[in-house]
Amino acid sequence: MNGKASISKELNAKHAKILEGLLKLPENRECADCRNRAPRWASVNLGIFICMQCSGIHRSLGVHISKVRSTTLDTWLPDQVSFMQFMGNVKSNRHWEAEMPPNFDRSKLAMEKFIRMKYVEKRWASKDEEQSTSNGGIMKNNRRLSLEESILANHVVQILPPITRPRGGFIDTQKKNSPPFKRPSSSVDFDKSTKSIATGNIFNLLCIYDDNKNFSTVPPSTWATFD
Amino acid sequence: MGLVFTKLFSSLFGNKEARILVLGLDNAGKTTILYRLQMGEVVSTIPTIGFNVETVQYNNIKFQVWDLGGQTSIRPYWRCYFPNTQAIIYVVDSSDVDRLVIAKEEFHAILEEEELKGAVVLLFANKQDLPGALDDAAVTEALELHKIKNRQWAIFKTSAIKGEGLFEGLDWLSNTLKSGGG
Repeated sequence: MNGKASISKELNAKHAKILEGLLKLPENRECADCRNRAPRWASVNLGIFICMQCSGIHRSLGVHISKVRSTTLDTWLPDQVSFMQFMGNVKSNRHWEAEMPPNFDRSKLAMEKFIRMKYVEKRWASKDEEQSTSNGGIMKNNRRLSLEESILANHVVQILPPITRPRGGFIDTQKKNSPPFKRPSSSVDFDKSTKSIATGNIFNLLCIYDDNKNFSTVPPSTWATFD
Repeated sequence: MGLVFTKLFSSLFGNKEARILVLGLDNAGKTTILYRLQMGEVVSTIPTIGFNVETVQYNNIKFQVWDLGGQTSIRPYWRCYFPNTQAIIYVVDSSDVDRLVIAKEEFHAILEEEELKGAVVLLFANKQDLPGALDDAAVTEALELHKIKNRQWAIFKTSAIKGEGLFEGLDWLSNTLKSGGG
């Protein structure tokens, strides 16, 4: 993970640009937790942008809860960038703050306590949606994939059923005015195998909301499980 | 006779100073370890952009401990601090299994540095308090420590939060430095 050797300078620059763009979106202009302006850090498995103070608290939770990276000082993997594009602060908080009373005053709590209640105790997390992180399956799979890139890339292309293209997911992201989630293929030069892998992962990350807000993850379930 | 020996001992070692670098990936626990050693407390930290430096007096050695930021793009600046370093404390987040490969690569790159040829190496398999943390044997294997040649090194299981293992490591370090290592 985060292998600097595997990320070229060019790709790194492109990632930086994408992240810069994401940080300019209205939904990401405030820290996902304390609401301070201009966050420059991120939790790559939660898919949120946070301020430096909150990043310190996230780091103290352990990587099984939150994996913190700097948007400016760290090297990112394509899948991490993709997940940030997919998730973002508004979408993430729709899950983690779903049950929060509307007039809840977060400034009354010490921020460390607030963040622990939010992500460790899951005090306000939505009950129906399971997927809100890229923890576990996704990250582990990515690591395995990166080792056997070409073989698995071919495999992925074969096992990805075209009928499961998650149109609902796209509609949802547009409706909610979050960034349209698409492969950054126009701006990022993945080689062919990387492209296949990334696409495969994105299908796993995407979800479909139907009118009843029922939630289902998109297959293939063979290589992505969300705990 | 005992008094003479004690005096001789402290004159030989009493004023020994050692310059120590604390290195490791971002969020390994370097700053928490530094302040746990220096103040005996767990402090709240934010990512270190740049460095922290503190003096820690222990076992008659005055350790000047430099804690350097671990984010990817600032790791290349570690080398600015390499000259005149007697020891490296390399800190690993034992629960961050996904990044052990990177931790290994960075570690072996450090060992290659000419300016650190004489430095002894103390490894902390940190965050033993977290679920899924690998023990010292597993970290030894993941970091391929058997490849270390011509250097004194040791690894300790630590939890900076609980204060476990740190001073055992510092004991090893002070004994090794007193006996001429570094």
